[in-house]
Amino acid sequence: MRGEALYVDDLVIEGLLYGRLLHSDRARARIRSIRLPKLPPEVTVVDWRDAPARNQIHIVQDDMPIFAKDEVAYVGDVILMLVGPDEQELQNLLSRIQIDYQELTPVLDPQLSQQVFFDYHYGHGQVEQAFAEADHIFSETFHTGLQEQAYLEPNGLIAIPGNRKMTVRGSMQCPYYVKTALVRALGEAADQVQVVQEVTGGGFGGKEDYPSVLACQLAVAALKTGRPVKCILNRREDMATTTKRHPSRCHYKVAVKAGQVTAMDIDVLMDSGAYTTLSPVVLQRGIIGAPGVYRIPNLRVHGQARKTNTVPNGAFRGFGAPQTFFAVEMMMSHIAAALNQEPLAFKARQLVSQGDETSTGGRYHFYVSLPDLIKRAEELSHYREKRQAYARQTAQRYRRGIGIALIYHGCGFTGNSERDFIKAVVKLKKRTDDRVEVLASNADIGQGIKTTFAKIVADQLALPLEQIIVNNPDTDKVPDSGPTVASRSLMTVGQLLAQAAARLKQVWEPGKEQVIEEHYQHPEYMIPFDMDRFAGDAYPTYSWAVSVVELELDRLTGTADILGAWGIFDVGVPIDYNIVQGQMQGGFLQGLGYACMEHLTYSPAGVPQQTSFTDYIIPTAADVPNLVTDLVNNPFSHGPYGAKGAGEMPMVGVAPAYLEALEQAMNCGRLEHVPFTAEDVLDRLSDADGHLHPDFDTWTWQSKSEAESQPADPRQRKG
Amino acid sequence: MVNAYVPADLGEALRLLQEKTVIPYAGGTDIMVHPQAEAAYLFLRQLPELNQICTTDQYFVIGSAVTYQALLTQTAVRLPDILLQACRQVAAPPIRNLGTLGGNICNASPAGDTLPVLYALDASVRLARLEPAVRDCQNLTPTIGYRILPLRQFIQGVRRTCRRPEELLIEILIPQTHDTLTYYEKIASRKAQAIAKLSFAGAASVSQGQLQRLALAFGSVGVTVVRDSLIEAKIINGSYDPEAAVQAYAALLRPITDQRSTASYRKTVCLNLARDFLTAVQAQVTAGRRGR
Repeated sequence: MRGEALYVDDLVIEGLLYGRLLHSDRARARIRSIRLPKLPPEVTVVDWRDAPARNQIHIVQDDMPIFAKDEVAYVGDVILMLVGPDEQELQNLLSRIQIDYQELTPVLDPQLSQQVFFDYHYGHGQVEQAFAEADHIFSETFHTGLQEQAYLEPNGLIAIPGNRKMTVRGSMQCPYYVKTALVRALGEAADQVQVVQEVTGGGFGGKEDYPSVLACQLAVAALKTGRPVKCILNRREDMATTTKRHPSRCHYKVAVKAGQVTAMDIDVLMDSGAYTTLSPVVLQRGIIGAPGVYRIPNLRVHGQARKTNTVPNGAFRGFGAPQTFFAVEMMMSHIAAALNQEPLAFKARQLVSQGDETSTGGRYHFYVSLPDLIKRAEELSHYREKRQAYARQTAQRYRRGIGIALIYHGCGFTGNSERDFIKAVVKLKKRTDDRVEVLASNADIGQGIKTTFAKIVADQLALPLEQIIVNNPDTDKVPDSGPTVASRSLMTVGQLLAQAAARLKQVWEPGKEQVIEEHYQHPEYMIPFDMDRFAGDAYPTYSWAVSVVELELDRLTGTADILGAWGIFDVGVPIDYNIVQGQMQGGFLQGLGYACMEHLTYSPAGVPQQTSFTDYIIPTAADVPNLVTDLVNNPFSHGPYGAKGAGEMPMVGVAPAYLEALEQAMNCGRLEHVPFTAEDVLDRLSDADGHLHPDFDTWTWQSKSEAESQPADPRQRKG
Repeated sequence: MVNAYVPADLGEALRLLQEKTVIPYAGGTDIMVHPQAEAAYLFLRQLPELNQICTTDQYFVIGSAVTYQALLTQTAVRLPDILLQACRQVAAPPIRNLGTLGGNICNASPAGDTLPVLYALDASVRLARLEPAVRDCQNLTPTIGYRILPLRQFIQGVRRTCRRPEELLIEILIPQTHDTLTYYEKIASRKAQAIAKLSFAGAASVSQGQLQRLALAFGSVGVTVVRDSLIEAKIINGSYDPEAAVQAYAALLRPITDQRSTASYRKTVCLNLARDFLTAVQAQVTAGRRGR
């Protein structure tokens, strides 16, 4: 670490103007009129009238306007931009703009929303029959909350107008997404669009879709003023107005016969926020993973994303999976407890394995390493032993618990997107000095892709690492090798680079400039995915993970100390061990935040309540002083050196493992939502003296024989 | 343009304070959360007078610019454990290296980490200012005047103290009590870098089965730290058993719901901790009586 990196805010550009955004302070309203203060001549107003082609931002769909025209859909919706040379002056002027709103009642609860953005169904087998023949039928509803990506560097870009050319530079994950959005927004106003990623201080998905929004706003401003325009969001602005993780409500109904789960009927509802952004893709990944890592012979899944008047929710590490994996892991654990079985043993009996069908009728083509990961997790954590010991504890104030969760990550894009939409291309350019430049559009956002790309190419060419050049992607120079998402950069693009490097080696001529181009080829083994029916291989392969959390609860304060935390991961083969460990440890903490701290709420008027790091609490290393992350190799035949996806997994399994541990320590019944804060713990402990609160206890249990049927007394949980 | 003054000694600092409109700046860890572009700051951490730690017959004396880290690492004086416990839970090392006890007091946040402890230990503060020069006196060197106030009186509300503009808080005085039981809990959303949702400090002195001194102080549940002498007196004289005392605190504490926590959580935890502390005190009293 040398501190030499220049972020977009550090760039010195001649004639630069600043752009400051006017955000709506109403969640849902029509704009009757806008009254501007008297503006000095150097200040320009930019709004929807200035959009040269169409006032729409292309993400997946095109429903989000560049600038709100006559209505606003969430607190934070951008109405206009003031552009000028003095940022402070702009800020003062912004505060004097008066907007006459006609207020409408905002919809904040997706369950009350009438506007369904996306609606998907899929399934297989004979679900009704399986329920009719079941020994037991269980059902329960789970909720997960918002989560902020909390990257260190806020979103920020600069748009630089040229001669019929528009250049946008800045913090982003997906230069070609931004380029596509700009091309459509500018239309004939620009013949050429160039997008350059600058050093980016973290993304976690938060710079997958949002930079397209800011880029369009700034490009319109740059076009109007003819000057470069920069906008760096301040922290409160970024937290209050940019995309977050989708809150969810998941309802599970599960049939069990002879100790095995025979059917699941799952209903998933995600809160899309005010615009669609990436909701369809997030919802797809969420519902495909909804049955978890289990063999479910009869399955029915329904998923919806609905509009609310809140911040548009978008991409965030895990991308729909943290929501459904939380729900299915809790559900399986609750069923095990109801049947007087140890949760891990119950789960382990129904794991998928190589050759099994996936939830969408594809195949687990490769070895499923979960049994190995479970074994390693047990060696390190002594899970079973502690689980039994803690079931017998009699302590009053401090009580311990341990929990485990099993998850996968479907590596890369969902379905055939790589084949049909992305069509990734990479180039290797050998210079006359025999140094080799990697030309790919994937952005290093802290995950170390520059290092891993360089290592792959260097190794293939048997060159020292210093001879490989990886610059930040510039769409004028690099081909479109797709976005930096879904753990595809290393697995898919890295493999293309390995192939390109192998070809370059064959034709290598010292001192000569050579260019090798490599195109994506869809793995021949994949069962084509039918997006309408959710049928076929949703992913080329899967990474696997086991998370264990051990904690000690203080029943007087509701707070818990993490005594031990273990994450065991199959990422195929790590290309860079330290980078993977860094990802796993950081992701684990992010998962812990999701489980118990990161609490983000809206006021009844739809105003986000936690918009600073003082109020929105993310964990620090002090919260998990003893975190152990370990890797089990399971090489993937189609990934570079056997590598698969990695970055999402540590995030996904922590919440269910934490809650299972907390349930054991609290010893007063099922828990069913995250974040589960200290406030929630105390509420529940005081309720436990009487009866479970009907609002959150949605658990039902029907047994075939009435004689067997017992009310589920939460205080008599075993295991 | 920010103006900064760096006085060499207390006298110069007090003169600047009298002559200019300046904001006293010790560690700056609270001030710099909302820096003011037009403000003038009076830097204090270099002043030797404000950096001492010593004892007198009755008191521990801590200079107001002594940092948390200095309190934790100094070996000259054996400070009350409960104070060090609170210092250890302040933010994280960077803040502890800069933040000061005087700053924590003058910032007067109800969530100040050391405040419940200082209230429970009956701390006082010493303030200094330049006395107005007496005209007919030959000696024109102005003299420094002092006043001592109990901390509970000094802090008046959220970010409000009775420090006069020309005054400087120079020392914190902590009586050398002989507490046989102390109890401190800071409850926050995470282990480091967090503002307290609530905090509780308890101190008791039990001698031969007799409760001699008792203090319960609650942070983040009111506009200032809450301590109630009447309830404490009733516990000491035996009119309240622990449960009756908890009921009395239940009637007294009126926390609010905000973006960090809820009123009911704050209140429940305060009462849980008070009950736990008072039960331990009672156990010590009972054990003392048996031992007699």
